[in-house]
Amino acid sequence: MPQLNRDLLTGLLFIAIGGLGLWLGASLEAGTVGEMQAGYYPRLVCLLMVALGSLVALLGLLRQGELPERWHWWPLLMVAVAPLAFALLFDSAGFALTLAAVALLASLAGRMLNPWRMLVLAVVLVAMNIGLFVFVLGLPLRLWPRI
Amino acid sequence: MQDLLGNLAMGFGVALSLQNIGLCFIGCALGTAIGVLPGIGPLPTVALLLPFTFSLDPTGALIMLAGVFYGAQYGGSTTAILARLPGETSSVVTCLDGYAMALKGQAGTALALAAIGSLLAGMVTTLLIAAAGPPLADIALLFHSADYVSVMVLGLISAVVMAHGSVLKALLMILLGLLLGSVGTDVATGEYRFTLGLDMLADGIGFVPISMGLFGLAEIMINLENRGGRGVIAKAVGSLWPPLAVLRQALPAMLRGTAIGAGFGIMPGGGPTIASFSAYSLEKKMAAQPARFGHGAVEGVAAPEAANNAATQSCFIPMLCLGIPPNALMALMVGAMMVHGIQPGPSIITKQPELFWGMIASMAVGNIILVILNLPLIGIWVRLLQVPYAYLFPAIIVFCAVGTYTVDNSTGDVVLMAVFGVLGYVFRKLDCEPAPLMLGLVLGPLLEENFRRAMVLADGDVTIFVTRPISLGFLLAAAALLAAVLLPSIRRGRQEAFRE
Amino acid sequence: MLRRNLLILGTGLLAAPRVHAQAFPSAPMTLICAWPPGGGSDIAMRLVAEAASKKFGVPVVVDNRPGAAGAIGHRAIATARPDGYTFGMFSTAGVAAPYLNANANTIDELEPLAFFGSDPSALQASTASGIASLQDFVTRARANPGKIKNGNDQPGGASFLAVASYEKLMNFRIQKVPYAGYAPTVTALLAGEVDSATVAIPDTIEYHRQGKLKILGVSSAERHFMAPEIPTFKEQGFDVEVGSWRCIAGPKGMPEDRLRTLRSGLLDAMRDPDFLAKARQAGFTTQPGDAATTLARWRADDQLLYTILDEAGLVKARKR
Repeated sequence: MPQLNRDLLTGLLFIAIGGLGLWLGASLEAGTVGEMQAGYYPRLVCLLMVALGSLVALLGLLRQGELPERWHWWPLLMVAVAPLAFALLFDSAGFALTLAAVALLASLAGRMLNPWRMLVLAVVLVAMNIGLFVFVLGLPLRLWPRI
Repeated sequence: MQDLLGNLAMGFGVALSLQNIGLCFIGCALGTAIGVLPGIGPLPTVALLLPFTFSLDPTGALIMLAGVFYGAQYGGSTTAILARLPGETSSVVTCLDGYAMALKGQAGTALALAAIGSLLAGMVTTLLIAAAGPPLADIALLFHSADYVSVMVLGLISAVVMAHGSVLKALLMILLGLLLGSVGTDVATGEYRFTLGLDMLADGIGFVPISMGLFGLAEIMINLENRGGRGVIAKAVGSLWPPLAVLRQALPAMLRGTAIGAGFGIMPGGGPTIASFSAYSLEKKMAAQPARFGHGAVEGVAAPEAANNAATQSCFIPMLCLGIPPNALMALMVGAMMVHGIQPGPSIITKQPELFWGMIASMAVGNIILVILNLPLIGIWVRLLQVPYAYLFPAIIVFCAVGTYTVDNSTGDVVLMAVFGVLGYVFRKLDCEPAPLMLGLVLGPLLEENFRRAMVLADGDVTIFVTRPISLGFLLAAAALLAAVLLPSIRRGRQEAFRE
Repeated sequence: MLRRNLLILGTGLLAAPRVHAQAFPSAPMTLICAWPPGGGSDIAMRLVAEAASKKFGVPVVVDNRPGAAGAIGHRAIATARPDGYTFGMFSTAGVAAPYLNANANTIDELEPLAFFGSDPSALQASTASGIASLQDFVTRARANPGKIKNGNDQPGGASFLAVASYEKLMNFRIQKVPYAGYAPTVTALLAGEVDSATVAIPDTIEYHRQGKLKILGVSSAERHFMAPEIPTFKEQGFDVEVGSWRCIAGPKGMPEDRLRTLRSGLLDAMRDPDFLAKARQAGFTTQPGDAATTLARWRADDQLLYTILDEAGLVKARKR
C-alpha cells in the first residue's frame, strides 16, 4: 500500500513544476537542434524535470519513507506576510511607517515579545534603517506618507 | 627570475605610491561594504565608479575598480556566516558550514578562516599571475562553446556532491534553477519567456530576491518553529582567533581551494561562483567523514572562501594578458581601459608595463588592506549575534526587505522574495537543499547561450561534446563525480531492500 | 537605485550644479543606455553624459537597461515622462528591432534629438582560416555558401546587420553565429572557433598588429583614424559603405521649449573639443549632427534594413 512520504511529495511537486513550465511555454517555438528557438532549452529542462520527478516519486512509492515533519503555519505565514506588507504599503505610506509595520508583523511571528518591547524594537529598527539607507547611503526614499 | 623580481619591484613602486594606496583602500572599503549589504553587487558598483575614473590616471583607476571586485568577495561571506544570507553569488556555499559554525558559537572562527583563506589565496594567485600570467592566459583561447558547456555541466554536477541529501533531489533543484534562469527575454530572439505578462519579469528573476527568500527567510521560519517559537539561542562566542589545530586542518583545504579557484578563474565562463562550489565538493569528497559537512566543517568554509578569492584574481589573467574578459566584470574593466585610450590586447604588458605590474602588485597590497580592514570588524559582527533572537530575526527580515527593494527600486522583487521564502520552507520540509538551485540559476543563462551556439557551430551534431578533447575531459570528470556520489547510495538502497 | 543615486551624487560633485527655480533643466537628467556597462555604447554614452552635464549644469546620469537587443532600454525611453529629463541612446539596431521583435518600439515612437556619429564596420578573419584578403574571403564565401562561420551580434544587433548588409551588397552567403557582445566575439575569433567576424576597428587593431588575427578591410569612405594601415572595401574593389551609428532620442510629446533646449544643448555638448578628444581617444568616429540629420538617417536605414531583413527571411513582425 503506497504511503505518502517526503520523496513521493517531492516527485509530485517537481512533476507539477515541470508540467507548469511545459504548459506556460507551449506557445514558444522550439526549432531544431541545429537552430534552436526560444522554446527548445526550457522545454528540455522541463522534460528532464518531469522525468526525474517521476523517478523520485516512483522510488518514494517503493520505499518506505517518512512524512515531512509537522508544519508550523504561524511563523511561515508571518515571515512571508511581513515583506508582503512592505511591498503593499511602501508606495503610499512612506519608508518610516512601512518599516514600522514590517517590524511589528515580523516580531509577531516569534510570539516572544510583549507589545511594549515590540514597539520599542520597531522604533529602533526604523531609526537604524533610516539612518543607514537614507542618511549614510543617501537613497532618495520618501520617509512619510504622501498627503 | 631576475626579470620577475625587477618587474615586481617596478609594480610595487607603482602600487605603493600614496595616491594608489589611497585608491586601493577606497576600492577595498567600498567593495567590503557592498559585499556586506544584501543586494547590490560589484558589477553595478564598478559601473557607477567608472565616470569618476575619467579624471584619474588609468593605473590608479583600474587599481580602485579591481579593489571593489575582490573586496566584495571578502564582504559577501560576512552575512552568509552570520545570518545565512549570501551577499554575493560566490558566497552561497559559505552559508552551509559557515552558518552552522556560527550556530555552534564559532562565528568568529568562521569569519577569521574566511579572511585568512582569502588572504592566502590572494597572495598565491598574485604570485601566479606575476610568474606565469601570459602562458596561462593562452588557456582561455583553447576553449570553444562546446567546452564551456561541459565546464558548466561539471560545475552543476559538483553541486550534487555538496548536497547531503538525495542525489536525485539535488539534480531536481539544479533543473529548477536552470528553469528559473530562463525566465525573461530570450537574448537570441527577443521573445518573452514565462513572464506571465509582468513587466518586472522581462529582465529575468534576479539572484537577490531568490537567495534572500530561499536562504534568509526560510531559515527564520525554520528557526522559529523549533523550541516552541523561542528560536535559536546564541551560544557563548569562543575566541576569535582560530586555534592552531583548526588552522592546521584548514590550511590544506585553503591551498586546494586556491588551486581550484585559480584554475576556474582563468577559464572563461568559470569565475568565483563555480570555483567555490567545486572547491566545497572536492573537500567533501576527500574528507574522511563527509557527514561533518553542513554541520560546521572548517574545510567547508576555508576551501570555498579561498577558491572564490583566487578565482576573482585569476580572472584578471586573460583580461590583462590578452585583453579578453572572461566575465561581465572584466568586460567593464576592458571598457575602463578603452576610455583611457588603452587598446586591449597582448601588447599591454610590453607597452604599459607600469600598468600591468602595478595592477598585479596592487592586488597583493589590496589583500593586506582587506585583512587589516576586516579582522577588527569580526569582533563587532560577532557581538551582533549575542542579541537575543527575538530581536535579531525581525531586524533581519526588515533588512532583507529593504535590501531587496533597493537593488532595482522594485516592490515586485520584495514580493518575489516572500514567495521564495515560502518555497524555501517547503523545500526544507521535503529535504531539498537550495544551494544547487542557486548554482543552476547563475549558470543557466550561460549554459543555454553556449549550448545553442555550440549546436549552431556543429550543425546540430551533439557528438561535438565528446569529440572535442577538452569537452570530453570535463564530461568524463562530471560522469566520474556523479558515479562516485550515486554508487554508495545505490548500494545503500540495495542493502535496505535486502533488509526488508 | 542605490547606484543611480550614488551616481547622481558623484556627477553632482563633479558638475557643481547651478539650480534655478523655474529653469530647465533644474534637476538631474537620465540618459538611458540600452546596452550593458563597459561596452562601446556604454562608454560612448558616459562621455556624452559627462559633456552634457557640463553643458546643462545638472548631473546627467547614465542608466543601463540592457536586454532583448536594446528593446528593453528603448521602451524605457519611449515610455518615459516627456518632461525632457529622460532621454537615451538609439542606434542602427533599434531601427531594425521592430521587424524582428513585436515588442520593440518603432522610430515613430521616438523623438530625434542629436546625432553622435557612425562607426564604420570592418571584417576580420582568424589566422587559422588562412583567409588572405577581402577578395579571397568573397571568393571562398561564394564558392561554398554557408561554409564560412562569422561571429557577430544576435539577430538585429549592429554587427549582425553589418554582416547581413555585406552578404546582400557583395552577393555571398556565410553562417552567422551569435555572441553576446564584441569581447566574446573577438575571443572566439582568436580561438579559431569562428573563421571571421564583423566587429569594430578599436576592438581588434591591437590583435591585428600582433598577427593574432587579420583585419580584411573597413567599409567606410575613408580609412579609420586608428588603423591607417587597413584599406577600405572600396580600395579593394568593393564599393560598399556600411557602419553603425548612434544618436540621442527622447520620448514623443516633450514641450517645445524644452525640446529646443535639449537639441541645441546636446549638439553643443558633442561639439565640445574636450568631448571630441576623449571620444577619439576611446576610438569613436564622431560626427555631431542635429535632429534633422538624425531623422534623415533613421528614415534611410529603415528602408535599407527592412529590405535586407526581408530578403534574409528575418522579418517576423510588422511585415509591409
